[in-house]
Amino acid sequence: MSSRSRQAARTRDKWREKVWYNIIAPDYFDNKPIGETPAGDPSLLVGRTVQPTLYDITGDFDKIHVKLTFKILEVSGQDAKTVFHGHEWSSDYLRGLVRRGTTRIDWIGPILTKDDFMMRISVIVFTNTRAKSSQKHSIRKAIEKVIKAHAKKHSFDELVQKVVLGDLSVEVYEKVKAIIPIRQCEIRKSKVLKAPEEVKARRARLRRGSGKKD
Amino acid sequence: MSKKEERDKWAIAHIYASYNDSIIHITDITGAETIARYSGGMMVKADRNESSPHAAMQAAFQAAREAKDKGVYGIHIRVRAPGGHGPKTPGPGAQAAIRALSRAGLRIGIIDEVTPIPHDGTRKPGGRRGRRV
Repeated sequence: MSSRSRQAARTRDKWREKVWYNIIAPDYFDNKPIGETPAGDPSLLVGRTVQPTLYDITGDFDKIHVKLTFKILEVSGQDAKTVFHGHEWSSDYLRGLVRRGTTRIDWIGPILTKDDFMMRISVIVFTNTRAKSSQKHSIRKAIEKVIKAHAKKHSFDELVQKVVLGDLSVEVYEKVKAIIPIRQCEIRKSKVLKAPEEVKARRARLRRGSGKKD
Repeated sequence: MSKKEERDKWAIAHIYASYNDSIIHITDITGAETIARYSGGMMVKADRNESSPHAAMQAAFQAAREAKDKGVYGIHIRVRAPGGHGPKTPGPGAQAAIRALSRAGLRIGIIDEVTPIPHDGTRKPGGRRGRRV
């Protein structure tokens, strides 16, 4: 009868009412089930993020350091459908790669895909020996050229697969190899910044703004 | 996540281990729904023992029991220290809590360190001449 016992009963009931929904990976990851999440109401699911590793999705044990982020977009029945929202290396893996006497070169930049998704991509290059700054500059330029060219060619779904599964980094590797011998070249992190609607709205606003000035 | 059809509910155990307390917070894999939450301070009487390995172990056992009651089969672990401008190494409770969780019969998935590291932030308190006690 005390307030504490009443509270305990209420919380327990709440947990029982919750339904477990399956989280499903996007089409470009074969609609694989990622896991389950409980919710009292399906509308509460939208916007939640899950972080499975690439190992969970592909079964490739070498890729256990890659953490993918999926965001729940819509719920149909018991299934919650997700979209790709970014990926990242685990911090301890990255720390293990940085060594003395070699150079770590980063390139971070926003890109726009063919179907107007705005993403931010971080490429990391490790050289065999210490690089001069002129080499660093030219490497960054080369990376930017390859990545931007590919982003223009591919739609979001294709690009995500290329980024995560490492096809894009192989092409960057080929280009950078000509400048200086490198140990490793990979895409360390990516993040979806804006959906097409936002990009289009912004572009329309800019066009209107420039029109007024004229 | 795992290949089995049933009994494969996974969860995340967020372990916050500072030098003043350790908190074990088990959530679902999205981190949106709490399954169990216990801290070292709930297990011991003296304030100075809140961060002790023993308190962390007790808290982890309690949390594991509650999680298992709710049908959790395995957990991924995310350990963190206070981070920011504070200490960046997990406190004494982290090890004990992980051990206790695995001893309690939960499957352990990935153990991750998620201490927030500033990319340059605010100044550490104490001033130029340090904290003068």
